[in-house]
Amino acid sequence: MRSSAFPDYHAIVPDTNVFLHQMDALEHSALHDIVILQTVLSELKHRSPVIYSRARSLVSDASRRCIVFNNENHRETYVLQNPEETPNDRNDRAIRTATRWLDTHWAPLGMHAVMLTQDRQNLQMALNEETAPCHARHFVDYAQALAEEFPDLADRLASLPAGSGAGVSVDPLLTADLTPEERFDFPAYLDEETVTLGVKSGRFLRGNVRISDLNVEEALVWTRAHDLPVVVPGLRALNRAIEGDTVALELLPESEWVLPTSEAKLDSAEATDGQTSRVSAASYLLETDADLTAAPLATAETRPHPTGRVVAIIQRNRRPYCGGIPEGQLMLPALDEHGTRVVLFQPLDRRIPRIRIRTRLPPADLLAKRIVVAIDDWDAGARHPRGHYIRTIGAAGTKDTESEVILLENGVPFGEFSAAAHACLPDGNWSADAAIAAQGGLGRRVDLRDVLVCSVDPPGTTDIDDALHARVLPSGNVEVGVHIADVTHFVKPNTPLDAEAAARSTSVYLVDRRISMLPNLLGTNLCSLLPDVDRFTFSCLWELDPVTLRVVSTRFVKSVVRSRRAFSYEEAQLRLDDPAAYGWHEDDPVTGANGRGDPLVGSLVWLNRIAQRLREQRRQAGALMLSSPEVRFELGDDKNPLYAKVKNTIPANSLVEEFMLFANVSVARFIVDAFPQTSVLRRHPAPTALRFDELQQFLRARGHSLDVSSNRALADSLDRCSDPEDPFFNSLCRMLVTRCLMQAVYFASGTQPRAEFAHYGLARDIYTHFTSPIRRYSDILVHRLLAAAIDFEPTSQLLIHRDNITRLCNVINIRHRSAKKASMSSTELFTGLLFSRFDLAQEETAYVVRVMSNGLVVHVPAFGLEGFIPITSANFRYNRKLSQIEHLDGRKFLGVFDRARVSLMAHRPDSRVDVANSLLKISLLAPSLDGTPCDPVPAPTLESLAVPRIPQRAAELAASRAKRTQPEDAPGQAAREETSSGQIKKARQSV
Amino acid sequence: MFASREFVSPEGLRLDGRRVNELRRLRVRSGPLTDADGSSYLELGNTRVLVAVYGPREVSSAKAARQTTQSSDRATVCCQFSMATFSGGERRRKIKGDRRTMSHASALEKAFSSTIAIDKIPPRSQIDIFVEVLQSDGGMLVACINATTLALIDAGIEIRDYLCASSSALLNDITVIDPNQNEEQSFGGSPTATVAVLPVTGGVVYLDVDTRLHIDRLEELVNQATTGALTIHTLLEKVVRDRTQSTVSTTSAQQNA
Repeated sequence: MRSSAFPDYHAIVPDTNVFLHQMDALEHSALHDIVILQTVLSELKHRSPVIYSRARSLVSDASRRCIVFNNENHRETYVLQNPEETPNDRNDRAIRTATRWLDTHWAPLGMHAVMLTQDRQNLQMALNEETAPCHARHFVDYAQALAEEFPDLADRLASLPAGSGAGVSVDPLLTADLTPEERFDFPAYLDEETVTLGVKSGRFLRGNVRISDLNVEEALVWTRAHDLPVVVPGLRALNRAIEGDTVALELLPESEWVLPTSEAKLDSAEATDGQTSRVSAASYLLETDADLTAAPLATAETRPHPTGRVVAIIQRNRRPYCGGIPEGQLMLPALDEHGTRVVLFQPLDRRIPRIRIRTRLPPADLLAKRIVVAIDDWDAGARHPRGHYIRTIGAAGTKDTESEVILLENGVPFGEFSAAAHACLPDGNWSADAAIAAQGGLGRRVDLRDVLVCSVDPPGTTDIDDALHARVLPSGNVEVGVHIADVTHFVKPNTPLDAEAAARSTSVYLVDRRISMLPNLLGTNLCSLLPDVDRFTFSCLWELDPVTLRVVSTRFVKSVVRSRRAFSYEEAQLRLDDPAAYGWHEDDPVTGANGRGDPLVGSLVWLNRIAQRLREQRRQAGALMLSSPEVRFELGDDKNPLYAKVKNTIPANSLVEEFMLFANVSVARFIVDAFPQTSVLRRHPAPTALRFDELQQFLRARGHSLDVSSNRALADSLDRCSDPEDPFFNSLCRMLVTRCLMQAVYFASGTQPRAEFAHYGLARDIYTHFTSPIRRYSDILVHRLLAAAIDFEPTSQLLIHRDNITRLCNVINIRHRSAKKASMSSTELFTGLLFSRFDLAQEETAYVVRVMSNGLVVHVPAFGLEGFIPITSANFRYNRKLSQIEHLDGRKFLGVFDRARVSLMAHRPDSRVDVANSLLKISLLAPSLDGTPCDPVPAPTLESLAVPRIPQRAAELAASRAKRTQPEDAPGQAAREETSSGQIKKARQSV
Repeated sequence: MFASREFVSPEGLRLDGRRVNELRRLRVRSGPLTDADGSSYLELGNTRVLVAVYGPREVSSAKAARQTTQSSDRATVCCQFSMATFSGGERRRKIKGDRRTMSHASALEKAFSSTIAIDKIPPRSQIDIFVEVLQSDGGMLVACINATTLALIDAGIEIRDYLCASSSALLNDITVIDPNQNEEQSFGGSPTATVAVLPVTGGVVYLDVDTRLHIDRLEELVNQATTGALTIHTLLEKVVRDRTQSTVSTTSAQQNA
């Protein structure tokens, strides 16, 4: 490349510190022709695995022309450490030597090598070294020179600590240049040695900072030493620690211990605003199932928590944050002729402090935009950390920008698949016949193409990963088969495709798009069990006794099948309701004796008969039938929402579900026999009774109670929790119970005792995921384990290594959780978009689900969303004991389970105040806050809740679209149904 | 990808800078010990072994005596295998006669019983092989076998062929040749195959795989190790030729003088 900082044609050789501190700038496309030295890579590997993998992906991006030079293994560039040298000095010298060598090596080509460093001393050494100097530049100078052409490159530069003397002679971000209100006096951190010793001796406690969702200036830290989390109250005690950091704490004397606040205190800027309301579909849900180790807080709050302050940060766990810059900040005058400004960035994640950044971008480019910012450092003298701008995502409040924000904030990898991954894919014309011919016959694969297999899915599904059949064998027994797409035939271990699938771990379903785990060629074509084409599958075949339906034999085979028909749920339901009308006759509908007619319909009928029996067995065993609100959106051609409706389920849904559960259990039993240590299983621990305490208290007030002694008892008592006056009450109870449960997790079988394998919700003693390898990586692992267990293919070494399986399970669990969060945020976003698009104002019935000292959390069933309504009026007070808001005279105003009328309306985010606000505003109509008496809110009927809320204009849009697309089968529609069906599918197996 | 389990970099280099099919540097010296009938010193990377051979001589040890009574018409090979206390990463007392030492010794005995031209050695005599590992960094048995071959040649004991060994390991489903200790112990012990072959006459004399391994992967692993053993053969042969040549030229020079 060329640059005014070094006019000759050259390649750049950045040193380790440039990678560690300026990775965001290095990733800017302005920089190319980069040589990464082996010395640098091995230092990165030790110091920051994240940066290491980013450096690696830089290398794999062909457009950046970035190469690795193994200088440590090259005779002429290897350097030996001198006795007086530190390892760092030696590495610096190795980098200089390599740069010099490259320079002479390329001399005949007229090309130079330029070392980039941030270290003044290293720079001097490079330029003055007597023997043979190498070309070198200070990284900041170099980037500034390029910034004339690429203004945002200058913004991406991390600010350097004072004294490191960058090219920017005075960095306005540094403490010396702060205004008085920007100053703060944080205590200095203790040095590393004191902290390490202190933690070892027990003088300090070590733990992860969890900033309270309700109060951003307070953190809870779980430590090994106490059964309660340590409260870290206030900015000064937090001492510059950020959500997710690992810190060392010093406990305060017991006399200073406090209770954690239950008050919803928002960021100071927000708090002064007073009336801000927050709406979220799921945030409270997430809070309860966030962590397996998190004990319930409800009963413990009577005694003060241990309280402490941060003395040092052991590990910083920081990522780039999405957010925006309030308009007021952009009105500040520029500091120099480049238009440099120092502004406060407001992250969307409320738990993250605002970040001071330096930017040259014109205010218009930043106003009401979503941007990404990283934290560089936090000086002891400053109120806010300093950071740097990375990039702009787009205009705030628009569908695409906000969807990308959701993906980024949840850490969902959503880029294109790499070229290397694509290279692992088979040819698009792949066919089963050709593949069989190529490998010289079926081998151990079984030909099941003559079996009448069909699939049942939501309409328009394109990634069909399961198909079924049932038939009566000549012996009189019934054979049932579950056929799962044979994804591992295409995704081989230790390939780039496998690595990428493992990193993604799961497909993520947003309302308007699907982030697939596998490239579409596999997911929706070669692996998808489309009708009338031959596909490779992994089949579970059971032989059942026709009367008792007891399993006589179980068999797992890799096979090739041809699906005869892809039924939609509705189509399947029609055939089940009246088989005779579709050409299937039986003498006795209970035993299915003497069945004749269309065998495909007969297959469905048999499947349904068995499914009902399986479901009954499961219910007997104590399986929980839980509900969580699911909203479906009708999308327009531009994928913007037209209207929302609460999803309803039909019996055919559960038909497929039962068989998938059955297959999963069968497979789990089988693989754990073959691989007792390294089987990938899924367990759902039983919740402790403590977790239900709060809910029990509210239910008792209503005259109900839960028996939480076992899953069976819980299921039965939940059935009894109903209110004849209010049909929704039972659903609400089921929803709240869901939040008290633990989260199901994947694990390696060798890491838990056998008794811990159980799945509480499904009431099975062992469980795994086998049936959706197109969209879950756990299933891919299970497929490989099963294939090895039936001796179909060699075991990959990684499959028999327990630590490796455990590591993979951890990644999958994390990804699984963030995928769920992302889908919920997307639903929330689309609800907001729906309101803002049509400027909707809607009156709905809501239920109070949580009471806080300054407001209420309500659930709105019609949209399946939850919102916080602040109550700041002096006419009310908060009763912690009864968990209700009451009038000053002690009369109850609202408590948990109470109904209220609320209004939902579009909220125009006032970018001047708060860019982080939701698009939806929720406020209380009845009972009214001003104390005017009003009738109790009537219970809604289930039908009224299920009616789609269609705005007038949306209805017109939908009608005109229907008219327009009627003649031909619109592709837009297919795409829409694909994603919405994905949502349903996901729900089907989220157990 | 996860940096921690990267035993072969995307550029194709292993942690010590070798490619997957590269052996470590082999350095040998024939006859470093003057009192033994034959001896050798061998370095395979950082693995260093010293071998001394005595015999054939009259049966003296109880072990050899026992074996001789079993097959009175044959000569016996006796091997004593030991590791220096300073040979490992941490210094600790090696218990003499522990399971690993014993198994290495018996492996060497068996391998060389079928390599030495036993029928040409006077019956009821014994050949003693003393192996001392000075430093171990993986491929210990490989180094011992190769060094013993050389020591036997130095002792002038007739052998049917060179016995050459090498090993290969499966790291992350990638086969690497001649693994060092770090690679052998990765993933809590990765499958390692040690193979000793007779390069000219053909035939595998010793084969050992120490961890659970799927049978389908065995062939590849053995093939790689065999390739390594053949490479070692050419190196050893050259050493022997050079040494013989220089001995011949010095003796003839002495005679001429």
